[in-house]
Amino acid sequence: MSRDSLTRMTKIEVVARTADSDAVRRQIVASGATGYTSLPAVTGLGHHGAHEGRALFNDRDALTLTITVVPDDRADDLIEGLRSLLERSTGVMFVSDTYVSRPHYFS
Amino acid sequence: MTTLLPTTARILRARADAEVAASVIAPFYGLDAAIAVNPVLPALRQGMPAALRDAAPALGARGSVSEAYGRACVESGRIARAELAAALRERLGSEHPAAAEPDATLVARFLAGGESMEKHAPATGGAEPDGSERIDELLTAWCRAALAPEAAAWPVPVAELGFYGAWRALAAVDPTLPREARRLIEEAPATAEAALAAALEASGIPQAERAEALRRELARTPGFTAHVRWRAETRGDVEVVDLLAVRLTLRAALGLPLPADGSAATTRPRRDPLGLDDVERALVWQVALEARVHGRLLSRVHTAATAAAAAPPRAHLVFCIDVRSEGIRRHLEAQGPYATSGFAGFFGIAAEIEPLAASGVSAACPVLLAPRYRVSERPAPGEWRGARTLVDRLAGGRAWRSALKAPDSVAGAPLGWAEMTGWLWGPVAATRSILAGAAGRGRRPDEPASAPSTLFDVDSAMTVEDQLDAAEVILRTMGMTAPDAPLVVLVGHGSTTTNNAYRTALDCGACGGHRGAPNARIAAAILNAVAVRVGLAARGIEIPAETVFVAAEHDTVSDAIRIVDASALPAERRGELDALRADAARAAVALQRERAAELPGARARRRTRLERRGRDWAQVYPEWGLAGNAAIIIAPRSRTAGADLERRAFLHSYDPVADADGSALETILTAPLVVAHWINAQYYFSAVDPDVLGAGSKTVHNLVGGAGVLTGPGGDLRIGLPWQSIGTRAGLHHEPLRLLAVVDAPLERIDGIIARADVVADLVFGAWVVLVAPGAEPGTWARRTRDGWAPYPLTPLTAAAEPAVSPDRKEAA
Repeated sequence: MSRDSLTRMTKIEVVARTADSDAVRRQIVASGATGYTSLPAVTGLGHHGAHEGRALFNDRDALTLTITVVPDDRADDLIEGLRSLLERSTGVMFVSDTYVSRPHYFS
Repeated sequence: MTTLLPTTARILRARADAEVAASVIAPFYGLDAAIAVNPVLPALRQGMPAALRDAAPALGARGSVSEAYGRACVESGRIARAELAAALRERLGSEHPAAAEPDATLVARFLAGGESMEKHAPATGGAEPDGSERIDELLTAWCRAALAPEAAAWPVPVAELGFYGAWRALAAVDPTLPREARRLIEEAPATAEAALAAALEASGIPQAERAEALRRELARTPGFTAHVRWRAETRGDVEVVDLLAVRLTLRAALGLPLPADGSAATTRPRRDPLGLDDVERALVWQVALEARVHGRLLSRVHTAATAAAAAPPRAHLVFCIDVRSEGIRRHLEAQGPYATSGFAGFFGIAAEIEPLAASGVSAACPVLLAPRYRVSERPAPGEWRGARTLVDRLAGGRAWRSALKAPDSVAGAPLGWAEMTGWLWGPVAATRSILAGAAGRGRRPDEPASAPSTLFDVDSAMTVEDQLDAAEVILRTMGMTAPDAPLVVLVGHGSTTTNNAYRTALDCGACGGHRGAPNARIAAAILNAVAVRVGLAARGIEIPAETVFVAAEHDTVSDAIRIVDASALPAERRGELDALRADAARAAVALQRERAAELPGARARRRTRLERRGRDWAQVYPEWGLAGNAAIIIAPRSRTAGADLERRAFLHSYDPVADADGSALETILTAPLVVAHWINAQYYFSAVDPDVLGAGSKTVHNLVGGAGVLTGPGGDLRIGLPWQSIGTRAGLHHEPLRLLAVVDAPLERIDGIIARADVVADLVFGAWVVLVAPGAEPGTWARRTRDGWAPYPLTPLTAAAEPAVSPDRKEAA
């Protein structure tokens, strides 16, 4: 399958503390995005060093990756809204082009 | 007010401003299942000094002890001048010219500096009324109705229209508002986020200052703000955006514009002659205040393991880490050959529990965890008839109470109802007052006086593999991979009180603010299961066949220990329980006598009856709860055996030898330590600012559904602990001390966990806790800070066994 038959959209991924991820998700929904995917307890290495996944008895103090896909015309508003949210908290955002086969799912 | 709808970009920006504004205060969990929390939890990462400088003032709160309190401690001898001088030198550093001065000179300069700063302190609390009080009044009245609609005097369509929509619909026809205001409210945008964005646009406040402006608005009602944050996280039916939308729309409608930033012209922090600003001085007082108590507790921790008992214990009892367990463990061990351990009171069972005949389920695990499974309580085989009777009786009781309260919700009816039924309730009330808990059995409305035998249906909720995992975690985390006694009792805890809005705050925090027996019963059932035992053996944990786990519950008012599932033990071994019951009863008597010395109105007699306090509906001090908490000790019991830790230490068992990879310690430091800090911080902030971060006196509380309490008939929801949890008429009973975390583990193991777990680094490097571990030389201690490990010496003063008496912590009677 070539990309010609797919629809280009914008994918936004945010890694934030689980306690802050509720606000990220609210922002995504308020932007008109039709959905998101949330991956709790992600691990990795970043600006603040290594991050472990979920502790055995603590779900709260972990990192959550939230992913959403929106049509390009909605992306800028959401990106600005998320940047405002992340200005004063830890978290990183990735924005990239993506291609979907069912565009009506996302708009 | 503009009626133009804001763009999506502006709406999202306004939402972000609202979220940032609210990120200064922790969620408030309400009273249905009260959970202790650091009220400035969002500032955890910034560290305690920054929280004192920014977060607490943003809420209009004091975050530290006052200069006057510190000076009173010096005058009373609670803080020795040598302790204050040591704290000062630690703060100033050895390079500071004053550090070389004699103690007396240094302290004199510090005290004089405090007086000078107080004399020139900027005026506070004298803000001119600007109409915000009217907004507060209207907003809090709406919050009371909308957030607890079951308690509202008339129906509020919150479920249909949402918090903001319902307010807009009702306010537009509210005759107490001016006509023009009603018109403007009607014309306001239909959604909360659009209304907030529109109001911000109309305010003229520059974008860069909007989050701060909103923060000041939220700080006017920190209680409802905190509760709304919790609702947003849990039910999702209201969020801070709604609260601010109502607030700013009201302002616009009443012609009370959003105030400009009053603190924009930031002044440089004031400094005393030693160069310390207010927060640095506060931290000096804090360290000086902690030195003696931390030192005394640490001096009682054995730096070398004590010799193991020659004979195996008669029973091994596992208690919650709660500070109240320290007392009962100490007294029980004194009665005979008993071993005890400490473990988080939910016993690793992250469950939603559905009690028999209950109207709902509840999460019986720490709020740090999402429940993994739901476990239902069922009648034991052959007990279905009794269960049905119980269900009918409880349903009848609920219907009766509901009928009695029904007139409360009909306008004008309460007075008539009182006239009609007063002749009946008057004598009942008089009898309850006169007897004052001397008769009857204290229990909660939904707790039956007698209940059929039940069991928890673990097999329907968890696979054998899940049960096996849970069992392994429980045993490895508390270092019980080879039980040393034929009888192991898992002891949850709860508090039996009456007419007490804060009763769940006295229950087990690890069980989500519920009694601990269900978790203990489930854990015991799992550990007794044959399939689990077989699986454990395959994982290297051999539990002798004769070892039986039994559940029990410690009542923290009476100190009675109630065995719950005695039938787990074969009939021929029930005598073991009789001996335990007798020894536990003697331990309870001894502990009651000890506690009576501190409880207002109690006298330490040969047979003190503290359980009566739980039944007395006028008793505002049924127990002290976790007041006095000052340390958590993560170590084998051999480190603290025989030591009187004054019911001030959370005790978590840990065997550093059996935990070579550090996984058990990582679990303890990322969960029980965090929970202990939340509890400690709640007591700390309630004590340093009882007005803003405490809940005020119980005697004038009014309940707002299960959301919380008000002081008097109106105003903001009160967060934190009531005054009767931290003080008496004589002053503070609970001294605001940070948690001393004593960790018996190799330093590199602790360092590894700090490097991996952000929350542990935040607690330690942010100076929220004082973490110490055994030093390189026997009998020494090392303290971890951001700069590494440093010796933590016990000075002769701090190691002294003398009791510490603060100017306020006196004989409470």
